[in-house]
Amino acid sequence: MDSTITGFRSAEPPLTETMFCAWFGSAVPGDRIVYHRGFLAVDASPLTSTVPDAERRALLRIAERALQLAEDGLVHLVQRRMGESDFTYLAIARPRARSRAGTLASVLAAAKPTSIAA
Amino acid sequence: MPFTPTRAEIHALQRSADRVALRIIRTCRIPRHEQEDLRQDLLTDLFARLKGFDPARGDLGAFAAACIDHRAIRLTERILRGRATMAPISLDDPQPGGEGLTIGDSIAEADGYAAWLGQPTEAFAAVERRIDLDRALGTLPAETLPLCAELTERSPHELAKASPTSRATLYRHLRELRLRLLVAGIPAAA
Repeated sequence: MDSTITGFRSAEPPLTETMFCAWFGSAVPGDRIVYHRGFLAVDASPLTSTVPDAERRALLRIAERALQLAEDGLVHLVQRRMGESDFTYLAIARPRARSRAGTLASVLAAAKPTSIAA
Repeated sequence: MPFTPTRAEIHALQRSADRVALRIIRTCRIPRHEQEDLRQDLLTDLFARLKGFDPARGDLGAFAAACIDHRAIRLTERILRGRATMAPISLDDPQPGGEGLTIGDSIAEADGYAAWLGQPTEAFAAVERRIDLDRALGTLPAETLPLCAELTERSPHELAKASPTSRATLYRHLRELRLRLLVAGIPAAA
């Protein structure tokens, strides 16, 4: 008997960009989080996605944030193949780089602008 | 029966207390608006002692002058003693080696008014917060630092009014900044 229930939505609240950032803020190196399950490229595209537009936009924001953190060297992004067009997308926290030299107050004093750049 | 001064005598006592209060102000070099408080202090002390005044043994003016002078000496000593325990310093004084920063810059807003008066604050929490912020600074892109610096002095609303940037763009930058700080482990304060 097939016990898979398709289209069943999880009772857990969906991951948001803020939750993803908060997770990383408290993560230690090696911690991991699943930020999507499915086929990200398909699910995030307006042409091919089957999820509601608001959810698709939220997913896109999470994916872009994950990519940004990866480019900053803060997380590894990996995928685990679960089946045909079905992947688990994982973000794994990396050790953080040391802070740049200077105290908050002195750096902010040096950065004080004449006007805000657009 | 306790002695009760007449209205004219009370006026005379007030004038005496006024003169002595002014003398304390000049001696201790304290602000002129303290005169009323000092006068009140002198008169309260004097009135508490009036029950011991016997008109048959002397003049009210002499009795009052002695009481007020003694109280004034004690007040002056107290003010000077209190001042000796503190090093007068201005919030606008430069911090030693602070690269243009003032003493006021080293006091966190969260510490409140008590911190300005040397009252104890959550020193360990403040140090940890500063270390966290120093570390978070390393994760912020350099282009966001001018915005951070502006936000230390002005509210987003004031920034939006003063800046040629549109309000929507400014708040988009703010949202991005909040998320960057969240990534660095700094949750929003409110």
